This record gives sequence, structure tokens and C-alpha cells, in this order.
Amino acid sequence: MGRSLISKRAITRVQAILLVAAIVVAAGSAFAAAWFLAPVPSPTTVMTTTTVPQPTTITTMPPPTTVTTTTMPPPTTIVTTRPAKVTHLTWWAPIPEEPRRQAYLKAMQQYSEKNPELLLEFHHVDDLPEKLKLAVPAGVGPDFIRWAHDKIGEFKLLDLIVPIEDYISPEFKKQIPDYIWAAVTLDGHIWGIPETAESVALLYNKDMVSAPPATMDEMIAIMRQYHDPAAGKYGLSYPANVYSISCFIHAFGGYYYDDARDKAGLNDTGTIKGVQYLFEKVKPYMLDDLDYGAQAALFAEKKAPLAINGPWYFSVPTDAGVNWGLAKLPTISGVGPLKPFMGVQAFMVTKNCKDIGATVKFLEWITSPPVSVDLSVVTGNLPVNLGALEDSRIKNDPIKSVLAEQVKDAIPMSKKPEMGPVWGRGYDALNTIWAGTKSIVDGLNEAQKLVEEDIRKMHE
Amino acid sequence: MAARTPSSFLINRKTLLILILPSLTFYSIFFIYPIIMNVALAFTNRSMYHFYEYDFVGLANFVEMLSSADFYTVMGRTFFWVVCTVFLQIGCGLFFALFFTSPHLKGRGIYRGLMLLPWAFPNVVMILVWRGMFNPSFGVINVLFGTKINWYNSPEYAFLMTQVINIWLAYPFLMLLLTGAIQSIPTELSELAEMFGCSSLQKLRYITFPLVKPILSYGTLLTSGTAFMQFPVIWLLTRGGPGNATDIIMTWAYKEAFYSQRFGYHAAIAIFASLISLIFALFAIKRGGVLEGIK
Repeated sequence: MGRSLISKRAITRVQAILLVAAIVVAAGSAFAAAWFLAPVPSPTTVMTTTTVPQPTTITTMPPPTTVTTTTMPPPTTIVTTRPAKVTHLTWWAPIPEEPRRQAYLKAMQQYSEKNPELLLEFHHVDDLPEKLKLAVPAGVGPDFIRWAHDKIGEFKLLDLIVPIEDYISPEFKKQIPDYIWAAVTLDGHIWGIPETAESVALLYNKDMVSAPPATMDEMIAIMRQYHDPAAGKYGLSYPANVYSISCFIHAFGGYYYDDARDKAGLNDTGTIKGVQYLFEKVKPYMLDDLDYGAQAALFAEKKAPLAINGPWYFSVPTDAGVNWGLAKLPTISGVGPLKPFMGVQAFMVTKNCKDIGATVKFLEWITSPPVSVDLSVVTGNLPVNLGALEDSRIKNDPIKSVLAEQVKDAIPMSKKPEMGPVWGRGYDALNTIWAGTKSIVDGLNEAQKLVEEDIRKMHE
Repeated sequence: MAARTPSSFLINRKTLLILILPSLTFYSIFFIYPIIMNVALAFTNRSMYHFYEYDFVGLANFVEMLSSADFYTVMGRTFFWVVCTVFLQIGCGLFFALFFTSPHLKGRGIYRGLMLLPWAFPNVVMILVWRGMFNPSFGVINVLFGTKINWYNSPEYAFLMTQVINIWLAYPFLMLLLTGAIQSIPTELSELAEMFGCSSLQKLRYITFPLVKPILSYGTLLTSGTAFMQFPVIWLLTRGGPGNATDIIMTWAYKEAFYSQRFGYHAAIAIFASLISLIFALFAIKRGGVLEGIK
């Protein structure tokens, strides 16, 4: 019965063909519409819309001379104000906040007005590394991106970004301190133009602590004075994780992953000493809970006089009405200062870049004062350009001036993909040691073994 | 029956084929193609260091997995996890289904609606809320029971915590499934049983259970499959910790393969886990009569 029903109601061949044709036409027009309305124009569409008479690509030009200024014929015969040869540069970064994005768009507009041969386009992109991995090999990636420097190794390995040391002007090179250049240098090449830097530092509640501690002994005294778990008060608010406890490890000469020697150091003597110091001297004054929220809330709720945290956290105590100040991390007597990890936000030029010279020129401009300071005022980030640091708006800022001092004592995060296993295994080890399931030495030795195994397999 | 020529039959077949073609195309692109690619990936050494150029390595990934000592520990724990999850989820689901279909209960529709709430919220959000509730320092669970347990530091308590949350997240589905099954039992049967003097327990044993059995085995199949492949509950709560005390196959695979970005190896583990799941399914279909009544 069922079959005969179908045959009675089945449409004829002509109808079926018409139906499929309709679907194909609809899908085709939808694709076509999506293609033309797509916000990211692929390089081919750029070529066709800019009415360049000869499609000689700009990338084939000799590197340092910018095409746009040297080989362009004077626009005498052209009626439009825009020059005949327009370089369209697109860049990606995750900047979801509207005020920050507006600040960058304003800067881009300023530059375009002075350099009409350059057309700049920004796209807010979440999950940037994953999208970059797909876009750049397909030839539809952006011309440059902004991302933290610790991904440089992976981007380089996957052939997504290009070295730019030949394009950087000597004057600009002098404007960035060496310890910042170190963050974007890998295997003897420079892979990015550094924009901002960040690290953890010491926050203190001005109503509870008159002057920030300069040494660990002073800090321990303050922590002891306020520590009273029964009353819900603690000596220190410290979301201890692999990243934030690095200051203790570096103080004792330990390390997580040494890019230069290609070696993991989770069971290095310095690393073990650093973790031991943390557990013996600092942990007793902390809440026995590594949860970020639980730790971060203590300082914001005035339940701890001190906190070790980074710029991403600064708005929390401010919004909670805490009268707080920022200080450099203290020094361990006889050992040295605590040296936190530093993250540098850098602009990296991708392999798809149509004009590396013009791109680097723009990047030098946007990371130099006064533009970088204007941006810093809106974003709250610390610029790394020495000229910007001399600007009164940074120099007189009670937070940024301290942070500028702190990053001088910081160690850039490892840039290599081998750091991946260290982050993961280190996290697991720290939690295991914290839970008391394993001793510090056993936990770190085991983590080191796992990391070495991971890295060995990584290269297989 | 009207006589049909072979050609008209053929046309109809073709028509049908043409009509399902669009959805078949998309299904192939978004489901079948990734599965095939995943299987292919499992036989390569594709990783961060072999991203564009990678080699066929045969069964090396599977050999590596099977020769890892941790693998057997984790598999054992995964089976324990699955058994606990299935028993408790089915138990809770059945209990609530029976309870809220009881004709003596007034306003059971409202209660049933409330009991379904866990299902209505996004899993990840609810897991994070539970994480806060189990927080050793300010969580409501410790306050409620007057305990001072550090749920995240002890392997046993951490396992218990993940189980509780996993059950809470999944029981509404089973409850709904079984409620439907119980309500579809004709009331005449139970009235008849009462006439013969059956007790409630006997009614449950000889009427309800046999009639909901196909649905029950269907539920068991689905639950064991999802429990076996569970990732977010463990990852968001304990990340397999403390140590690797709560690692199950999926979280272990993630650590093994993604800390070092070895995609080929991860594909191999995923395929192996899928095969185990498939065996569960086949077993359930063969023995549990899961597909009974489905033609």
C-alpha cells in the first residue's frame, strides 16, 4: 500500500527537475550574495576594485622601498583624490570592546589621511590563531595581526608570519628596549612590532598597608598581621597558576622552557626552590583554594591587604571601591627580585601581506608616541616604546609607571610550541602538589618526565 | 493492486533520490566527510611539527595508545564511571518518572516541569554554577552539610562530585523518556492486576517493567554512550585532577594529544573510543531489544 501511495503522489520527472533547478539557483544566488557582501575581500577582489592597470603585485617589489611612495605616477590625469595605486591592508585582532576599537579606527583614519595610498581595514576576530591557520595557507588571510608574543613559535612553524627585521627603521629599533625586542625575537629574526607589555605586580590596599613591602620579609610580616582564616581574612590574594607563580621560579634562577637551549626546566633546581619557597613562605597566608575567582575576590572584598595579579584584574578592585595602589613585586633577601612572566602584544606581519614595507611603516607609526599614548589612555595597556614611556600621561600614571618598572624585571614567556606541554603538565602538577597528593619534588619530576615525553613525540 | 511498469517505478525511485539529494549533500559535507577525514588522520603523524607535510604511519598511533600504561588505568576508570553514571542516572530517572506519574500525586505536571529544569539550562553554565557550589571555601554544599571537605583535592570526593553533577545534568532526559513509556501503558492492565489482588510492587515487577523495558534499554544505550564520551563535566570541574584521579578517556586523550598538539594521535584515540561506544550500541541492539518496534 505504502508504495502505491508514493507512486500516486510522486511528482513527475519534469517537476522534480524544476524543483532541483530552483534549489540550485537559490543556493547559487545565496552563495553569490554571500561572496559579494563578504566583509573580508579576498586579494583577488581587491585587485579588481582598485583599477590598477597592470596587475603587478606589490610583494614582488624590492623589499624596503615602499611602492606606494616611490614608483607611483603623479595622479595628474586622475580626477579622484585617491591615487591610482592603492594598497589595501587588512588586519585582525580580538578587540571586542567598542571604545578600544574606536581608538584604533581613529588612529587608522589619521594615518590614511596622511597616506592616501594606503587603505586600512580592521576586523575584530575571536579565536584568531585557529582562523589564521586556515586563512593564510589559503591566501585569504589578513596582512597583519596583533597577538601575544608567545604564539610566535607556532605561527613561525606553520609558516604564517614573516620576519621583518629588514624593514624596521634604525630609529625605531632604538625606541624599543632590548628586553622587549627579546620577546619578539626567535632564531635570530624579529617576528613582530611590540606594542604593549604586561605582567603581574603587587597590589596593596592603601587603607590597610601604609607603604608597599620592598622585601619578602616585610611582605610576610604584613601577611602574618592580617591572616585570620577563622574570620575570613587572609594575608594574600593570589590566583596561583603556572603563569603567576613564575615570579618565584625565576627569582631562584629556575625556568619553564628555555627557548635558546630547547629545554624544559620543570625539575630544574631553581624551579624546585622557587616552588618550595612559595609553599613554605607564601602558601600559609593564602586561602587553600586555587580557584581564580575565589582568590581574586579576597582583595576586592577587602579580605586581604595584598594581591599578586595583572592588569586584566585592575578594574575589579577599583569597581569594588578598594583604595589600592600598585608596587613592584618584592625582593627575596639574598636571592633577588621576583621576576614575573611578561606578555608582549605585538603586531605580526603575515605571509599574505601585500606590502611588508608599508605595513611595517604603519606599525612603527601606531606604536610610537603620541599615537601609542593616545591608545594607551583608552585601552589602559602599557606601551613599550621608550618615547611613550617618557610621556607625562604614562610617567605620571600611578599604575602604568609602576608596571613599566615591573616589566623591566620580567622574563618574556617562551615563544616555542614546546611550551604547550609545559603549561598543561605544569598546571596538573601544581594542582596535585597543592592538593597534597604528591610532594613538590615528586610532582615536578613527574611533570618534567611527561613534558619531555610530550616534546619527544611532538617531533616524531 | 494496480499493475505498475518497471519504468514508472524507476522514475519514482529517481524522483525520491533527487528529492533527498540536497540534504544528502549537506549531510555528506558536514558529517560523513569529517568522519572519513578523522579516520584518515588517525593513520598519520599529523601534528604541530608535521602540519602541512605529514606521513602515513599505519597503526603506530593505535600501538602507542595500547602500549601506554596510563591507557589501561584510564580505561578502567572510564568503565567504572560509565557503570556508575548509567545505574544512577537510570535509577534517578526511573524513580522520578514513577513518582511523578503516580495518580495519587496532586499537581504532578508542575512538579514534573520543575524537575525538568536542569535540562533547560546550558550544560557548561550549570557545570560552572555547580563548581561554585562545591567550592571548598565559600561553596553552599559545605555550608549546607556543615562539612569542611575540599572537593577538588581528594580523589574520592572529586569523583563523587563529578558523578553528582553528571547525574543532575542528565536525569531529566531519562525521566522524560520513561514518563512517556509509563503513561503509554494502558490503565486497563493495572486495573486488571488490581482485580487479581496484585500489590503495587508486583504491578511494577510484572506490568510496568516489562512494558518500559525497550525504552529503558534505549535510554541505557544513549546514557552509556554519552557517559563514555563525557568531556565537559570532568574538564570544567577537575580537569582530571587531582593528579589524574578523575581522568576518563576523553580528558586523558585531550591531555595526551593537545598539550603537544598531536592531531593524528588524538584522532586514533577518538576512533577507538567511538568503536567501544559502537560495541555498546550493537550489544544493546542485539540483546536489549532496543530497536524493537522500530521498523
